[in-house]
Amino acid sequence: MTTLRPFCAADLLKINEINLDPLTETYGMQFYMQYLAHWPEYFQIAVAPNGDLMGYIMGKAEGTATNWHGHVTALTVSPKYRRLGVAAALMKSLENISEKKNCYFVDLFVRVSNKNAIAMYQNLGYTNYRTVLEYYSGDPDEDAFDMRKALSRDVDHTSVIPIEHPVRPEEVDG
Amino acid sequence: MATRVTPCPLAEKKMRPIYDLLDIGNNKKALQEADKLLKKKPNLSTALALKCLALLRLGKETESLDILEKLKNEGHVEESTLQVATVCYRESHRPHAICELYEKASAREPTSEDILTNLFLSYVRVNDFTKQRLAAISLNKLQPKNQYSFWTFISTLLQSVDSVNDLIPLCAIPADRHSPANDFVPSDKAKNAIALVHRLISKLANEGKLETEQEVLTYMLVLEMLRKYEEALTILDGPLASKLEPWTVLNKKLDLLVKLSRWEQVNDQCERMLSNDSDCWHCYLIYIDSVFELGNDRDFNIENKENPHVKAKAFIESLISSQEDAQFKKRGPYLARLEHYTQLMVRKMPAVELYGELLPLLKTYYVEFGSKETCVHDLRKYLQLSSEDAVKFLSFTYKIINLGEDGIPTDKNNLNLLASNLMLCRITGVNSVLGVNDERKFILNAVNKYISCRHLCLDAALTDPKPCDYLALVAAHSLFDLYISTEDTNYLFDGIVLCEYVVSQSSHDVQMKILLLKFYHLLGGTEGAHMVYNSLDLKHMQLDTLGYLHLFPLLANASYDHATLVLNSSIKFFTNNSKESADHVTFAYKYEALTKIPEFIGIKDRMTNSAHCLLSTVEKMLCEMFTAPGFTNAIELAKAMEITVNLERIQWNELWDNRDFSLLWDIEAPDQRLTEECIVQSHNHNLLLLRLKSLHLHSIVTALNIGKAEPNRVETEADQLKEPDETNKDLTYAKTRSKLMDYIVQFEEALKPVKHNIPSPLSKRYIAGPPVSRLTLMLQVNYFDLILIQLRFLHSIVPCEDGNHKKCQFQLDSMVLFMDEYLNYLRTITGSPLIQLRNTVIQVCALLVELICFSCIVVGVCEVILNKSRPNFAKRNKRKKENAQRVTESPDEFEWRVSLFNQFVTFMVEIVKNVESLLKSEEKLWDDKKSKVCELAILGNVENQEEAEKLKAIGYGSVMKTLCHSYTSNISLMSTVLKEKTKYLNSRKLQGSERKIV
Repeated sequence: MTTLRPFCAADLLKINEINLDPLTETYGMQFYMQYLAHWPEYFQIAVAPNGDLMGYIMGKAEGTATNWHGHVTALTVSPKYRRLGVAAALMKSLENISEKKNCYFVDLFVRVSNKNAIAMYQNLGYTNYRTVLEYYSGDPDEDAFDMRKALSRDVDHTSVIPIEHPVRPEEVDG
Repeated sequence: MATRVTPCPLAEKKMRPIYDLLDIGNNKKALQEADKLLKKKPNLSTALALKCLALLRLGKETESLDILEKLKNEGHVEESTLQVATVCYRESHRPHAICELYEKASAREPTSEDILTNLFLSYVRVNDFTKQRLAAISLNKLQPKNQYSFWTFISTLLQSVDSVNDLIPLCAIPADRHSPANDFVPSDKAKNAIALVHRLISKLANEGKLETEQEVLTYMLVLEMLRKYEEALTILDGPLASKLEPWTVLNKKLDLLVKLSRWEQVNDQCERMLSNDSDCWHCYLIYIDSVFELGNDRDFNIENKENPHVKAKAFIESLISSQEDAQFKKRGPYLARLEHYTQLMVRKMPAVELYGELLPLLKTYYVEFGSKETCVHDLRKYLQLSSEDAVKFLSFTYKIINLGEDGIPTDKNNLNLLASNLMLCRITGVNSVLGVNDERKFILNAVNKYISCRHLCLDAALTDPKPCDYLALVAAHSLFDLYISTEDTNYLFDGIVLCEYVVSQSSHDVQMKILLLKFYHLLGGTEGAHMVYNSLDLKHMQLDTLGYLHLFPLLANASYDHATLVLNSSIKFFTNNSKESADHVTFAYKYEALTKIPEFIGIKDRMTNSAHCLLSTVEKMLCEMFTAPGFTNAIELAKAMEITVNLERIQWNELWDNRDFSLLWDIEAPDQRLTEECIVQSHNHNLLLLRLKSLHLHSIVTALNIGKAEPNRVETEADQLKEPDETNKDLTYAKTRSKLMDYIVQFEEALKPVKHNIPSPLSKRYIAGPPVSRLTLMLQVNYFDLILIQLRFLHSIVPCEDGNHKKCQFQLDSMVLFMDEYLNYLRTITGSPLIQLRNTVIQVCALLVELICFSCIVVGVCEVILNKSRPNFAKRNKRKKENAQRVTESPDEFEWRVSLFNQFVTFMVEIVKNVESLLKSEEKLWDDKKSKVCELAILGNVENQEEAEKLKAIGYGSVMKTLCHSYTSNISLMSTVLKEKTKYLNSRKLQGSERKIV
C-alpha cells in the first residue's frame, strides 16, 4: 500500500520518525538539496494511506562508459512500515529509472553487520561485488559490502563479477 | 563551517599559499601573506579580496567590508577576484552586495557569459525574479541555449504568481487533489506573461528542441497554469512523452483527466493502473472519486451489474482474489474496500447492502495483516464501530493469537498479533471507558507480557525494533493516560521507570526515548531529559522540527547550562542554513531541476521564517543579556543584537510552524489524539511569546543605548543640520529615551489584548502535543507587567525635562506591590512534598530570576546615567563640548533620583535575598531521602519478582537520583546567578550630589 512520489524539499521537515532509526544518517540540508537538484527523479518517497511518510530512497546516476550506473545513496523505511515490501518498491523504482537512463548496473553500500538489509538486497538480486574496508566511520569503523545488480544493458553481467580483494574507500569512485 | 575557496586555475601561483592557509583556517597567516603580496603588487585585486576574506574570518568585519566596498565599486572582472568577493559577501550574509558586485562587472564586460551567469545567480539568491528574468534574457541573447530560455521561463512564472507557494502544488506529481492550487487563476497581467512563455515553449517544442524531462514538465506546468488541459493531454500522447518517466506520464494524464472531469476515462485508467500495481493508494482514492462521480444515485440497485459502485466492488474484490496464492499479499485492495465502504456510509448510501457488515471486512484485513506494525495505523480510519462491535472485533483479534498454556504468545508472529490487539484496545476507545483499576490491570498485564515475551526477541539485532517493546509502548502510553485522568504524578514516575527499563535492553528504541524525554520534563527532570536528548543525536533540520521537545522545558526549569548548549547548536544550524539556503536554490537552476525551483524557494522561506528559529534566537539573546556581568558587557552584546534581530524585519504573517508532532506512534483513543486546533493554539502562543520577548529585548537594547548617550546634551540646531549620521543620531539622548517610550507603548499595546482575553492554556491531554508554553505562567505571575513597570521607572528616573518625582515614586511603589504579590504566591507553594508543586516553584523562581537579571540591567543603565548627570559644576566647566547646550540638573532633582535609585537597589537586594532563601529551603527538601516524592504505582507489582526488584531499583535508585539531581542542580544554577547579581547590586548604590561615588 504505497504511493510513491518524488521527494519534495518540504518532506525534509517530516522525515524525523524515519531518520531517527539508528542505521539512518541525517545529513546536512545541503546534501539533500544537492540530490534533489541534481537527481530529482532518483529521490522518491513512499506515503501511507493515512498520510504518514513510510520511507524514502535517494540515489544518483554516475560513472562513464561501462561504469555508467545507478547508485543507491540512502534507503530507509520507518519501523512502523517494515515487512510490507516498501523498500523493494523503492528499489524497483530506482532500477527502472536506471534502466531508462541506460545504466549498466545499480550498486549500493551496506554495513557488513546489517544482515537484514543484506538479505533483502540478495532477495532483490544483488550480489557482493567487493568489500570496502572501513567505509563507515564510527567506533570502531565498519566495512561495507559493495553490492551490485546488472541491468539489461549489461547483457553478460560483467559488471557484477566479484572482485576478491577488498578495497579502500578512496579506491571507490563515486 | 567556512566555505572552501577553490583557487581559480588562472590565479597566480603566488596566491595559492593564501588559499591553502584560508582552507586550513590559518587566517592570521593568510592575512600576513596577503599583505606581503600586496606590498609588492598593490593592484592585485584577488589578493585584496583574499585579504578581505582573512579579515572577515578573523572577526574584523568592518575593515573587511570597507575594502570590499572599494573593490566592488572598482568593477573588477577577474573571475578569481569576483569569486573570493562573493564568498566574503556570502559569509557576511550580504547577498545583495553580490548582485552589485556582478552588476558592476557585467557593465564593464557585458559580453562575458560567465559574469552574466553569476549575475543571474546572484538575483536568484535574493528572490529578485524581475532582474533574474532580464539577466536570463541577456544570457540567451549572448549565447542562445535551452538552459537560458528555461531560466527566463521559470523566472517569468515565479514573477507571475503572488506567492511561490501557489506554484509548489502545481509542480507536484501526483497532484494533491485537495490543494487550493487547483483553483489557481492568474491575474490578467500574469496571464499575458504566462501566455508568452507558452508561445515560446510551444515554438521550441514544434522545432523539436525540448530535450530534458524537466523541460517537458515545465511545458506541462505552463499549460496547467493556463488551464489548457486538452493541449497538455495531447502532448502526453505525443512524442514528448518519451522524455518523461512512464510513471509520470500516467499520473499526469490522470490528473488532467480529473481536471477535465472525464470520469469514465479516469475510471478506466485507474483500473488499468491498479491492475498493474494493486498497491498504488492515490490511484484507489481517485478511482473511488470517479466511482462516486459516475454513480451518485443514493439508492442504487446492487443487482445492477452496470452500476459503477457494483462494478467497483467487483473490481476491488477481483484484485483481492488475484493475490490469493501470493506469498506476500498487498494490503491495497483490502484497504480500498474499506475506503469505498466508509465513503458509502458517510454519504448514507447502501454500503451494507453492497458489502455486508463492516466487521467481517475488518476481520479479513486483520487475518492477513494483523501481525504487521502498520495494521493499527491502517485500520484507525475505518474503525467506525458501535461499542458492541468494537468489543467483538477486539475479542476476535485476541482469539486469533496463538497463546501458550501460560497465556504467552508462542512466537514472534503471535507476539505481533498481541501487540496489535493491545494497540487496538486503545485506538478503538474501548480502553478510555475503563475505570482506574481496570486501566491499571491493563497496564500491569502489558508489562507482565512484555517481560515474559522478551525471550522471543533475543535474536533481533541491536538496531532492529523488537516486537516485545510494543507491549511496553502500549503500557507507557496508558500510564500517561492515567496521569491525565487522575493527575497522579506517580504514574509519570512509573512511565519514566518503564521507559528507562526498556531502553536499558533496547538502546535504540526511539519511541521509548521520546516518551522518556517527555515524561522527564513533565516532572522537571531536566537532567534525565538531557541525557535522552543527547542519545537521540538530533541534528540539522531536526533542531528546527524537534527542538521544541527539549528547549522550552529546559528554559522553563532554569536549566541554563543545557539550554545554552541546545540554543548554541540550534542557532549555529539556523545561521549556516540561512546563508546556504539561497545557494541551494542556485543548485536547482544549475542542474536544471526546473520544476523543483518553487519548492527550493519554499523551503528556504520556511526555514528562515521559522517561528522556532526566531524564538530560539530571541531566547538566546535574552539569556546572554541576563547573564552579562555588567553594563559594559551588555552594551557589547546589544551592538551585536541590533544587527541580528530586527523587529521590523520579522514578517509576522509569514512565520512558519515547522515543528513535527508526528514522531510518536499514534496509538491514542480518538479523543486523545492531538488536534490541529491544539497545534495552532500552541503556535499562536509561541507567536505571542515571540512578540513580547522580542519587544523586551528591543527595550533592553534601547535602554542600554540611553546609558551610552550623553544625558547632559540635548539636541542643538547644529545637530539638526548635521548629515544623518546613524551613530550620532541614535546616540542622541532624548531621541533614544523617546524610542524607549515607543517600545513601552508597543509592549503595552501587545499585552493589552492578552490581558483582556487571557489565552487559554494548552491542553495537557495530548501525549503527542507540544510542551506547555511558559506564556500561561508568565501571565499568571504578571511577568510582563513587572518588566513594563521597570521600563517606565527607568524612563522617568533618568534626567529629563519632564521629570516627575511623584510619577517615578509611584512606579517604584507599584513595583514593590507586584513583587510582594509575586513572593507571596511563591511562599504559598514552597515546601511541598508533591513533585508537581516543587516543579512549579522552580518554574516560578526561574521567571523571577529572569526579572531580577532584568532589574540589574535597569540598575546598570540608571547608575551610568545618574553618574553622568551628577551636578558637578567645577568639573562641568572643564568639559570641552562647548557647542552643546546642557540640561541643568538642579541638585534637588538629582537628589530624588538618587534616592529613588537607591531605594530600588535596596529593594532588589531584599528580593534576591528572599528568593535565595526560598531556593535554599527547596533544595533542603531533597535531602530528606525518606520522603518519597514519587512512588511506583504499578510496576512494583509485576509478576516476575526478579524483574520487579530491577524495576524498583531503577525507580528508587537511578531515576530518583536523576530527579533529585535535576532539581538541586537547577536550584544551584539559579543561586549562582543570584549570588552574582547580589554582588552587582551591592556595589551599585549612589551617593548624593556633592559626595564622591562609592
